[in-house]
Amino acid sequence: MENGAAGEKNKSDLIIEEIMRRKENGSIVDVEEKKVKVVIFSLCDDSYAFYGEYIKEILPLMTIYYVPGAAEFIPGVINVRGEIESVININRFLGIQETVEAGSGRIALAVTNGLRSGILVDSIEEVLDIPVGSIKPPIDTLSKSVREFVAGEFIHQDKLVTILDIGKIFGKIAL
Amino acid sequence: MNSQAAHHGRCPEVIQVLTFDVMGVKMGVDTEQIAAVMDLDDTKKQGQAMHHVYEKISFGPRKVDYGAPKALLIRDGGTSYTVVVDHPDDITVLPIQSIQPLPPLLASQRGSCAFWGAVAHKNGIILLIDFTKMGIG
Repeated sequence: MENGAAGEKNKSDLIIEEIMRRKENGSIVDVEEKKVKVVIFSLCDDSYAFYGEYIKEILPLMTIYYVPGAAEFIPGVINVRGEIESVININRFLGIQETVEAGSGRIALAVTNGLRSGILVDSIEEVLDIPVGSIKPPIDTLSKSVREFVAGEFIHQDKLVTILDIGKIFGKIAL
Repeated sequence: MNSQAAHHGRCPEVIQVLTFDVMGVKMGVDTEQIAAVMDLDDTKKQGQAMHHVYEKISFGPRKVDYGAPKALLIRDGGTSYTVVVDHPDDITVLPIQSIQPLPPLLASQRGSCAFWGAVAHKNGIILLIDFTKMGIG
């Protein structure tokens, strides 16, 4: 094909310019897309997450000292470098089957709204930043006992990850 | 505990606690609440009713088990009663700055309201109990 009027850009130039323009626009969109940090963990072979801003520390499983009179989902307290923190068994709290394997868990130390506590999880899978836009509302098939505490869901490595709302969990316990 | 300071509404700098076990849980009580540490036989001979912590505070599925039980004679206002504990073995002076309130999510649990604080002590945790808040007296 020939160029039209003199000075008019040829087709390949137009195409490459358009490609560059689109690429630039695309990269601008990527930069501007808001991201949020999540801590992905597993409970009974399912993936869950907390927003990273509420997780102060990930602790290895340590001795949990039983406190009589506490709710069944609070197995006791731990000593974190001299600070005494409560521990929540999130499986029991949400009514999820507990993992049989003993001694393999982790404790996520969470802080929100002036409340803090350790949360017992099976394992920490990953800490990563995800686009806010990838978080969808929870699906209706979630059990009612869990759905009440779900902030949203996203897909990560072809797996559904359910984000739990620590504020709602702590709020319910502190009531 | 410095009773003079406490009675005048001033916070003491230290308290003295007797530590013991109840079904495997390490606890401590302000010695000011204790009038005597008694053998169970002597308590029975005196016709004192014996109370157990597990009767007032749930220990869940834990088995009732005592290794070396003793009865603490508790002063509670104008009344007194005995509470059975295990291995009362140590009197410890605790600076009040070493005492931590129960974590807020535990403090909100009605069942554990007799526990008013906790201390990290000798690689473990001592729960501080106030027998006068157990609803026995």
